[in-house]
Amino acid sequence: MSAATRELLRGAGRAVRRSSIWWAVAIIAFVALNMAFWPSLEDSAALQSFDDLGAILDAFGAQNLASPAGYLDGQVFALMLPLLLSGMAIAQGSLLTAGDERAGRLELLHALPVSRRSIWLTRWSASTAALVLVAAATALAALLCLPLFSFEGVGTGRVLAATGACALLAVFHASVAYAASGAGASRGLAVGAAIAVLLAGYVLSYVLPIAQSLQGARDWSPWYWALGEQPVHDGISAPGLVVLAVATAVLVAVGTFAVDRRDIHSA
Amino acid sequence: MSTGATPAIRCRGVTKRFGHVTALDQLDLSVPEGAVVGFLGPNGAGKSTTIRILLDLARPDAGEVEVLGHDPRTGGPALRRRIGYVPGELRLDDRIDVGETLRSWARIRGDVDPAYVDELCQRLSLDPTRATSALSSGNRRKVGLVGAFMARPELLILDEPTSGIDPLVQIEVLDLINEVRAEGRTVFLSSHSLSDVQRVADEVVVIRDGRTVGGGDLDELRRSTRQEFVVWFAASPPVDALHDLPSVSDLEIRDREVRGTIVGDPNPLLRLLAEHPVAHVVLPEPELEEAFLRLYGGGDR
Repeated sequence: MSAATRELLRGAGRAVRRSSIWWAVAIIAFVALNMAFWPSLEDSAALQSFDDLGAILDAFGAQNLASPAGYLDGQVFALMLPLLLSGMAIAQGSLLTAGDERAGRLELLHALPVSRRSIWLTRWSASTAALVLVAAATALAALLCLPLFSFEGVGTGRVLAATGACALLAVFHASVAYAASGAGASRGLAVGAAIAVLLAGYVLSYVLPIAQSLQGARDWSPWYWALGEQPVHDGISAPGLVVLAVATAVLVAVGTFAVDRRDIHSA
Repeated sequence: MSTGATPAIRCRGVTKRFGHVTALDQLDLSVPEGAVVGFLGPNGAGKSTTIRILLDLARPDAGEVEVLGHDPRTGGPALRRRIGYVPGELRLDDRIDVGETLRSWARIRGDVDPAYVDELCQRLSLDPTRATSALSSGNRRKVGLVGAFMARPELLILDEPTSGIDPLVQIEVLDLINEVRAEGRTVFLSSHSLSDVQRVADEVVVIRDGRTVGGGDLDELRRSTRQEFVVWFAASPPVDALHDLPSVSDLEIRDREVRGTIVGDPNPLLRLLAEHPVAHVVLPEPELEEAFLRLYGGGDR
């Protein structure tokens, strides 16, 4: 890696360092708090009766709530953690690209002896690295909570894989924002596009399949590619992750290709 | 004055549109290597758009652009390594101080002498320990200037470099530009104000509504400039001789006071004054702005 690329990475990393710490604190607190409630809920009849709600809970990614793995899926890994990580990745990625460009902070950088591609790719990389670090810290916290709050029978590997899949889903959505930013969208538009894809994926994966005849809809959802139905309970499907990784790579390529072919916005 | 045969910057028929607005309309431009060229025009004339095209920040819709012999579109980082740039609107990263901002640019450029950066900061009265978020617009511009000069690039492209800077530091900036010229490097200096440009530039290019409307050697332009004068004679003025002077016009003679304008060679007037007792003379520096207005037909600048 050249000194210029290292410097670009450093600058972009610095820009999201502080907010990443706050995202990490919030996400870890959310996961730990939810896990901490398991011991008091595992024997409660309330969770068993939730399971009778069946299809309604499916819409929230929550099935088998009365089992430790099902509880983790319903409360953390099937819905909220992917949403939180995607929120972080979209917010920070779009800040470093469209946000900084529209604020005029990329003007001078683009006039320095570095290529547009390296500026934009290092910004994607810095925001992805921040996301991966926060996801890793979250996974670590979840692993520490497993024995602490008696999640019996939940494998370490399942939790690690589910967190990794949530992180990849988040990077995918941030890459939607990156592609839009690269094509010249404002930060608002880029975030809007990413959230539209995020919500559409959720509907395809969790809402439409409530109707038996629309179960096939989930095959088109990035959520389903990443997490399946219950990531901790059922495990993660490797082919789904590969599809998601390829889609992410395509989006990054599109954004980088597009920015090389347009004007840089001035402040 | 131009010292090289190859232009450092050449634009031919450059057109740039933003939607329905034509920002540059068949713009032609040539900046000789080793010269300091002022790029003048009112706000909104297309100066910044031209500069952004030279740096490949914007892409023209038509026309040819060459900077240091290369198309900015394909020249890439290797070409930009040879250029220093101060943007008209400089936005800095507020998360780091001035010194770290400059060190970051130096690390990206990779060919910067830290001692020269310190010298530039000192000369421009820029405190590197200050937070960028607390800087005035003038101080931000100084950060941009140090960044542009720090690598001693072959070509400096400065968009309104002295705007917002206090007068003493403005002089230092103009001195720096003169030093760059003395080293045979090129400066392309955009401004909407003539006062800086006429103190430092060899040539000027005037742009208006996205088109080059004129330009040339600054000395020639000065010679063609109308210059007002007022003379108070100690005795009766030589009225007939004054009327006979070829370069003098608009004469108003009231008793011993004579007002008029000179266009071109001032020597016949000076010789005449030397032959007669004169009490007082006012001969202000010719205003180039007035010359531009007249030459390029703009009363509404």
